[in-house]
Amino acid sequence: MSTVVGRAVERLDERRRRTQVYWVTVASFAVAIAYVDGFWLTSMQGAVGAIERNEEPLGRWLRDSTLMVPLFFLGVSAAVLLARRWFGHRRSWVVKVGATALLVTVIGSAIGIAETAASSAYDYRLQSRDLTSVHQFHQTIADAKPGATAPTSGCTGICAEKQLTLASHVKALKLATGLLLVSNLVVVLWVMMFRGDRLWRSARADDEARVVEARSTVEAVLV
Amino acid sequence: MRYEARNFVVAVVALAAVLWTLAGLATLVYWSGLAWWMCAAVGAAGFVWTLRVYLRPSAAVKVEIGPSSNSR
Repeated sequence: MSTVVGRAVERLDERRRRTQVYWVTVASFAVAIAYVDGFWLTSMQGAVGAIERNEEPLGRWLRDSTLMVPLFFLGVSAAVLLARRWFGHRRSWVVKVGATALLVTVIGSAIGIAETAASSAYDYRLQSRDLTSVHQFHQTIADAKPGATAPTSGCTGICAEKQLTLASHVKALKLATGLLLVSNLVVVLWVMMFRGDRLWRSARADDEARVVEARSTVEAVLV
Repeated sequence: MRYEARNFVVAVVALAAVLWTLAGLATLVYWSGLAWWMCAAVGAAGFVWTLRVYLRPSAAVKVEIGPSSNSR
């Protein structure tokens, strides 16, 4: 059992060494993006979300953002590795850093939008269920709402209310998409200011390290 | 002893990271309402993989060489 664990740990270590990425930088991006996106998610949920999920916003923001950190970590790792492969050989530092910032923003925002959309879908399911139960108990009240007509003709009453709920979620998601993209770009540029020079290790530095290691081994053998 | 202790710590941290990632994914899948679709997709992928592995032609097939009927 211990040999299996040992082999797995060695393989993990080897892979980590081969990727040559500064993991502290990746973690900084992931944590910053996760908590900023979590803020927008909590705000949107408070505005158009289901009443069953109402709870203290601070705790909810902390819990949901913390839960999503590893997914953002994977996304940022993929973005940095792709940027290294596509733009790592470029001489211009601006191109390298700019392209990496853009990739991290796009992939981080995609994960944030997916998270927001999934949360909205859950809210909509809960709200639809509530609307159905309210409609069953107080049919007259639900039907008597003036102006509760959906854009689709022939959809009135509970159908119209469900469609209006869906429309509010879609509108909120569109708004959140723009906010996520802009705020993620700002956050990524901020983190880039502090850690932009430590994105990945160059192949040359790696070779030099190997040469130094080999030289010290040869010296040890000769002496 | 030190090597084993290091392995143990790394294994625990890796396991925690994997469980944490799975919890995040499971939350997203549950929220999106795609839980049954995901289960079906994983089941189908597992079934196809099993078929591919077990129906793969084995390398240890015995070929009997003998007098052929149309050798004359």
